[in-house]
Amino acid sequence: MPVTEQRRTVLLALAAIALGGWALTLAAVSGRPKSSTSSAPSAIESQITYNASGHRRLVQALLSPVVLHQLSYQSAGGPTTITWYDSDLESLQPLKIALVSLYVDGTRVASTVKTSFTGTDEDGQGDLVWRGTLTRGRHEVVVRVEDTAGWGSPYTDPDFPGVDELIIDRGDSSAP
Amino acid sequence: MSQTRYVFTLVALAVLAGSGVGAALGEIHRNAKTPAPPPQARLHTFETDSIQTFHVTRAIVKAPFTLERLSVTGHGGTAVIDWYCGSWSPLVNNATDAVALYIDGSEVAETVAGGQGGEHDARAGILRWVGPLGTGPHVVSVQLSSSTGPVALPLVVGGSPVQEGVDVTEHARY
Repeated sequence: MPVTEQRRTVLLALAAIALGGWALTLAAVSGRPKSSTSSAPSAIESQITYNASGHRRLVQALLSPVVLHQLSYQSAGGPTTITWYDSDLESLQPLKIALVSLYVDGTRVASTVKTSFTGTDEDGQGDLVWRGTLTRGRHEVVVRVEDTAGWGSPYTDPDFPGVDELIIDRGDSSAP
Repeated sequence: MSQTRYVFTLVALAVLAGSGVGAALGEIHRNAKTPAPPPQARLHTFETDSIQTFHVTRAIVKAPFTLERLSVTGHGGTAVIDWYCGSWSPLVNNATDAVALYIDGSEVAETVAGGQGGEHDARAGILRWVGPLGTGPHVVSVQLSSSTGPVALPLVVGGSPVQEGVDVTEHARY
């Protein structure tokens, strides 16, 4: 073999070894398993109608119910929890009653009752929870309050924030 | 190709080849020494509940009174247990009433309500507990554990539907 051809062969062999080595390295690195996380899927939709301080929203529903929330909800179908929460549902007068109800597609499905003995000396949360099953499709969710006098909903003092919110949570069981 | 250029190219290629082979061997060695990580655990959620809807007041005369009793299967995860009643009202003045949560007969949580005004102290009742739930069958129960007199659980006004019940949601990774 001529000297020039020998040199070329040596160079080609070394180049092949170099390429092969780096290719092997890249293959090994790219073949490492990638980390991943999984979680149970869920869908949450919420609506906050009041989040402020220094004001009171006083519900006067003596003559007709007052709508606190109205939400059109697209459900995938299945078990659903709907929660209404008010940070301070408080009567302004003693010996009054507040009836807060949840309506789904026009049907009253759940209510909570809160009464007052002394009036504004009875701060406390308002909670309404409904657990049930929704069919797939769009549903109208409404929260109404029916009461006999003015209630803070929420009752707030200056510089203190209050919230009144509706939360729809489609729990999703991944049980096999 | 001149001799100098040939030697330079030869050295460069030799260095490149050596580092490539070295890196490959190192990676192979590292992979061989490092055990393959286990497959990422998947989060499973199991939900069991017992919910009742009342259209008339359920007046409970005397404690203890079992409100809910639920059989659940644990998977070694973390359980969130929620008891809820849309309207919890004492039926006598100056009342103190307690609702307790039990797992397999052991009390794990309690909530207390009361007041001076009897039915004028109605409000929603909520009791929440979070903790580990061992693998296997369990019994979750909720009781009116003590009271100073008759209690409405729930108090119903005007026939409106009021829910009372317990929900057990367990999150387990495996």
